[in-house]
Amino acid sequence: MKLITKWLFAPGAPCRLGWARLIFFTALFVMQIRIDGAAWADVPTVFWRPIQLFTRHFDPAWLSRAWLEPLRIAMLAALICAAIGFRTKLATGVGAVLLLFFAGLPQNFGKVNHDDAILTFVAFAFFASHCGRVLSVDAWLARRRGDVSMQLSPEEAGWPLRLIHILWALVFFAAGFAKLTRSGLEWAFSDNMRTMLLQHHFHHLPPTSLGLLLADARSLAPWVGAASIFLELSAPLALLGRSWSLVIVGGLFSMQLAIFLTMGVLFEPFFAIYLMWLPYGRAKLT
Amino acid sequence: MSSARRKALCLLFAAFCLTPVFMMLQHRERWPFSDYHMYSNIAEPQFEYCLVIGETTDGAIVDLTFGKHWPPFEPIRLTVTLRRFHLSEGEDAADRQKLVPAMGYLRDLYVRQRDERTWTGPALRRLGLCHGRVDLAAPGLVVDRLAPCRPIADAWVDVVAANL
Repeated sequence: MKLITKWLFAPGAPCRLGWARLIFFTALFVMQIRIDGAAWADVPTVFWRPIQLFTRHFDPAWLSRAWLEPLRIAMLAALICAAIGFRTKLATGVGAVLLLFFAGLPQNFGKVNHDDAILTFVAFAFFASHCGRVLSVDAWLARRRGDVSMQLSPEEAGWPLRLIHILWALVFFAAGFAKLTRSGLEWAFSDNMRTMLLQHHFHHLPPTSLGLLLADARSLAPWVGAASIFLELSAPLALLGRSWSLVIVGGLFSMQLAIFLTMGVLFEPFFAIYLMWLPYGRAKLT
Repeated sequence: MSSARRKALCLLFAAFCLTPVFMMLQHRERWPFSDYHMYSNIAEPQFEYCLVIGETTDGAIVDLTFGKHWPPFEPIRLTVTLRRFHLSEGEDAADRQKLVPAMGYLRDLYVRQRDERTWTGPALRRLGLCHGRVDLAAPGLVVDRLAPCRPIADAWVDVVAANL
């Protein structure tokens, strides 16, 4: 246990956390501004099929543009404030709660997607951290006031990104684990991969015909499937260090890109998480 | 870092990391937690799907599923839901009644976008849903989304009526 906590709270570069906050919340802002979350107010209740989070605490009759629109604007304002580090604690907290709401709301309309759930966890991780103490308007204002209590210790700078990396690794490991436990190696070493590739040309819109080419290469498709499961199960190894993460994070990024090109399934929210692996701000731990 | 804060953060780590592990081991999902089982079952070569279609003013049938025609729905969320309405039976048979109001909503959405000149597709006479059944093992398979898709008779909604 001591070893685990030592690893979790190992020192990190403060400016890396600042950059991560800036990039993550900017990416979130860009993603969310393109989505009219308030438009769910216009969708008739015949589509309403609540997930548990909303069953208990929410009545679809409350859905109206009159309050969804201001909430959406509040979320966008919170995300941009969180990005620049202005009133960071408040901004990350409000941003995380409203993101949970706006990411959860569509899940009540017919189909539950899980790819954006990780973004809410990451937003809450930033909220729990002291990420506003570096590369932020808050830090600049504190320096002008001569307030030295705003400095970020390396111990506080390391754990948030470590938590984000663990969450990312768990998602992929769970996906690989589910394939192996539900279908076994047959998932890869059968016609499954070929079937999936072809199916997606009927009910999705892949941007290329690479999936059809791969489906035609009957001897290659199983190995692509096996490599996918192997990479997914290897995701936790990315936590071991820079060279491991380079190979595994790079491999899984390529896999998700290939899924988009061959099957038309875009894991857009994950691209914001990949940015959390970049080695920006590898400064001295001072 | 104070010892109290360290303990609180350990609880945060436990809540965020152990809950997904529990979900994974129990094969359960409760948004935002999941066991990420999507695509984990073996795909069957026989499958069904639905597409949103439209009949243009010159009588052609066009696929309107993809693109950004039906905001805030993404294409797959919409077609999966409409397919469930169409195929519902047994305990969920009442969901079949939802298909017509759901298509009426799409018709209203089309009319609004057309009137606001934000509609990017062709001008439509009516909107509908088609249902495709495909057997990938069948000889002479042609990968064409629209070809095996048959319009569902009671899912057509007239756009002309909405013009009045």
